[in-house]
Amino acid sequence: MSAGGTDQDILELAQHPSTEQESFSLLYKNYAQKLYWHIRGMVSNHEDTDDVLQDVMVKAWRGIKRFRGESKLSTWLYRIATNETITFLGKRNKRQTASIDGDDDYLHDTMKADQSVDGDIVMLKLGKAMSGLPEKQKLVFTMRYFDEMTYDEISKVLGTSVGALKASYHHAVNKIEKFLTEND
Amino acid sequence: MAQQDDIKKELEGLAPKLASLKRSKADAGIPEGYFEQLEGEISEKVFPSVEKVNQGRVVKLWTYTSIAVAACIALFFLTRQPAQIIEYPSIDPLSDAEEFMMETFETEDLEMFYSASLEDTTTNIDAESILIEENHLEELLNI
Repeated sequence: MSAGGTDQDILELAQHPSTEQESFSLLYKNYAQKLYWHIRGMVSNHEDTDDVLQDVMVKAWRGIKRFRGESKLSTWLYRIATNETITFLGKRNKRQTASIDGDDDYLHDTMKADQSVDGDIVMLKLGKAMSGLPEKQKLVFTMRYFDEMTYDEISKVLGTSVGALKASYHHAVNKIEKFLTEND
Repeated sequence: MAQQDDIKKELEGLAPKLASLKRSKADAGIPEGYFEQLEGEISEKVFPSVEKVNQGRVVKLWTYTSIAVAACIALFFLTRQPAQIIEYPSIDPLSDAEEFMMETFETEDLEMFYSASLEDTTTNIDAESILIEENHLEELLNI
């Protein structure tokens, strides 16, 4: 249940031309920020997150009338966001002609650039630690740590077993913990 | 809430240092009023305003009309041919008739035609019949 209206409200209002703007507004209020942080956990900087989020919201809205309710609306939205983010990262990696770990450096650099002078040093450290993770572990860690999703929810979004997700998350957490301890 | 507690407990067991970090999203390079502004931007993409739609329609209508008019004019000039003037051969009826008669008929024939044209054959017949009728009348009167 969301403050602005339920998923059911969003879906019902979307079906009628006279109420579809209201539906869009509810969809945006309930999910835009959550999706922002989900994407941001993967792409790291605000500008890229903004681009991906706009694409995600437009795609979600264009597909909402065909949404059959076989999964939760949130699961469907996170799936769109995850797919768009992975596609974006793939394109970005191709564009980069740097070394093999160029993307990790980029991730760290953009996180650093996003910090203000009095920025949160801890978050910067966490960003650097995350930049060393494989894509899949980074995604699972973001969804569990930042999006606070259950393994079951993550499993539905990514189509991976709960056991595999737990393993990925534990690996990611151990690597970050090690990095934080060594760079304390 | 229970969900968040579970995640926190799991993290404390796995990575105490990471669990102690304060998760901050406040300072993340997001411009002020970003989410409010973004809603308008995306809304414009998914709901083009009625005015814009109408403007687009008017422009389209004018474009199509102009193209249609230009096409008609071009078609008119391209398919246009010089006007067909039917020229009839000039005839001088009198001279041709004369020529025909001169070539065809002999002088005697012409004379015959001429005399025939003067001869009034019907007059005699009529006169006779009139006389008969007059005589007949006389007969009737005599009676």
